[in-house]
Amino acid sequence: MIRIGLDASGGDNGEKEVIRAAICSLKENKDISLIIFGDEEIIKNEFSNANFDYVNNNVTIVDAKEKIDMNDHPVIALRTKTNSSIVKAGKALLDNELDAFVSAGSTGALVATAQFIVKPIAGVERPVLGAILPTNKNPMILIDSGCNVDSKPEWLYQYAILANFYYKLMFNVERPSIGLLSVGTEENKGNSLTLSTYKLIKENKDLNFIGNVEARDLTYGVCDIVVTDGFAGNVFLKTYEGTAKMLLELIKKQIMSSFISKIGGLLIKPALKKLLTKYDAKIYGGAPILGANALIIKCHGNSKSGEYIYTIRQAYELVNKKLIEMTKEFLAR
Amino acid sequence: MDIQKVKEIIAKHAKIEVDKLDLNADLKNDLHFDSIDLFQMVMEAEELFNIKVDNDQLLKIKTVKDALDSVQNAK
Repeated sequence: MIRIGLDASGGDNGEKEVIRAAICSLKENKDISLIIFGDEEIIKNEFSNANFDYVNNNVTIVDAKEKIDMNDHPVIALRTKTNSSIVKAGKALLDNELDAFVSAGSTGALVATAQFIVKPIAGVERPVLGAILPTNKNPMILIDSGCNVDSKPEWLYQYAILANFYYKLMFNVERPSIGLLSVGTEENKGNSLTLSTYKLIKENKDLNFIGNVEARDLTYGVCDIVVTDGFAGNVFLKTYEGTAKMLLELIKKQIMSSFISKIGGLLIKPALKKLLTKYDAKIYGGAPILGANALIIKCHGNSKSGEYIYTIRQAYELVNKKLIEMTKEFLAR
Repeated sequence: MDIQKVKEIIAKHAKIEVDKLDLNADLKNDLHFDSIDLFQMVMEAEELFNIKVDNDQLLKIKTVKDALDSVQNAK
């Protein structure tokens, strides 16, 4: 049985969405047990409100009343908020009481947990967030999507190796294509970080490096993995999300603007729905922190039960595929 | 407390030789530390000397000298 830790108090939408997802996941998969970290009383109430007998359905509740919020300094929070869900789950991962931990809590605190509690895999300098995004072709890993804002070329090189391994495991692609995010496709374009990183990745012939890629081409699926530092990666991610949201709102507004356009809207509804399903990022789950000694998956802060359900499935799959053990084995070679 | 040991920890994280460590060097700008490097360094010293650096003090560390002082003044 796979033991998945779930942070009930980390997300913006409260415990209710997490407990909904927990119940749904327990019903669909009898091979998981859920260890839920958060305020015990609230969690019990949510189960009770949903008429779910958690006691006899592979649920353990770990009381963790403190909350690490977005204004807390991540490392100071780890040192002081020892009764928080993230710190308690980090220790449970370290003590091998969990196989994976899913949280929509503070990215900084989760990354600090990977760095200071479960620690990086030997040889890895910085564990890193790899988010999966939909494109016109294949799913694409954006690495780093917001972990290490000041990065070094050697780290970016390691991100390429970690993401390459993760992509192969997740999508059964033997040689995923790797692009380096820059301001032009030519080898000499970029800043000192990308120019140095380019040379490092290019030298490794085991990687299918296609060179520099530009942000505008990423949504067209120009590569399977895009390597960048956490600052540029996070700016790209939020621009991508914001643009998609704005376009959808504009389309909706336009459709509702007149009687004729409403009829047009009805006609295109099935095609639009199909399109939206294809571009729904939540089906890929959350962003795992790659390169750590244990599996921690970060969900979007405003996740609802749907996002949590997909992320629990992802955690189950990655544990079954032995992501951590295989990454360790691969890096030790 | 063996201050030389603390200098060795800082030098190791800065990836420079210990005798090249400038007390006035800025950890971020001169030695290219990020917050993870800083905390790793402090935690290593805490473990070695069985001390606890005050969290407020930790956030004020800017230079090599600040780091040495913080570790020396820790209880």
